[in-house]
Amino acid sequence: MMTMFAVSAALVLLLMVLVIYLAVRADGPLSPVNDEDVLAPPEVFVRLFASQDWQYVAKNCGPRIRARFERERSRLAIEWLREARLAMKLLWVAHRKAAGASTGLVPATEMKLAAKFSLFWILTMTLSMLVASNQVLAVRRLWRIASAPAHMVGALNESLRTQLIPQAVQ
Amino acid sequence: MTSSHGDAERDLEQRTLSQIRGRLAQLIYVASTRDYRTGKYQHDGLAWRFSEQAAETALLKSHERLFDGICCAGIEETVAILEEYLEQQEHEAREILKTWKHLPAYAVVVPLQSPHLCNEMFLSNIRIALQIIEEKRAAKAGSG
Repeated sequence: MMTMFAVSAALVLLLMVLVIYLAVRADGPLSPVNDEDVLAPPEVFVRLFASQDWQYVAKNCGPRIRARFERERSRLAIEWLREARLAMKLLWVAHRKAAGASTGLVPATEMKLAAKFSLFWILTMTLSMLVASNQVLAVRRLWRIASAPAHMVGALNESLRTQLIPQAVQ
Repeated sequence: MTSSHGDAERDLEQRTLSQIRGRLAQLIYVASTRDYRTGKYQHDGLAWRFSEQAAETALLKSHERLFDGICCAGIEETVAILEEYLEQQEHEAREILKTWKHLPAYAVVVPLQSPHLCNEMFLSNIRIALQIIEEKRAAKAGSG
């Protein structure tokens, strides 16, 4: 039983390290961390999948508009997810640098942050792939899970900014 | 200075914007007070009553507020906003529909500091709303 637990924990840890490694390498070049304007509010992402809009278009529009609507919403969703990943990556890199210079590092807090960051990254990548492969319907059906990045982005942003960076500055 | 631009914003709202019907028409008006070369807002009346700085801040704040109210509106609401605007243009409505389809002149109403994706959302909603209105009008003309 203990061995199983240890193996599972090691696998999760390995996955987290791999995700963080890939996340930091992916999505293009870095720009300054205090660029607040980089990400549109999460409400934009929620709005992209709002059922009122999809129902309205399905009920009132012809196939040409329906196809265009789906295409445009998919493009914007992928863009938001990419920008969200990039914004969190910038914070993560800044956080890691600050952690390196900090003396008051709390390993448990750092592990929690790394887990949150990995989960956010896996979720946004999965959603991007689903939307890009025309699985918008699946995303809308699984909205409780799919909307998670919109909720996570604020919390993760706050955690990464406040939990370590101020201590390192002090 | 804060109360000054707050007063200027209220003045703009009461004297000017309240006379313009529809949120899109108001947004287009405020955006038109911006110099497209420099991005600075200019309004002689407001600047005379308050100060140039207060007038500029009031126009910027109004612009952002009006844009925020429209950029993330739903499709049905965007169609209604656009229809209301077109109704006021009377004979030019058809021309506007035709022109905006090929030349997205509405793109210039986007505020300078607005997040890129909010702008994209606004432009996408307007494009789709234009198509919906066009389809509605074609159906109405076909049945009439």
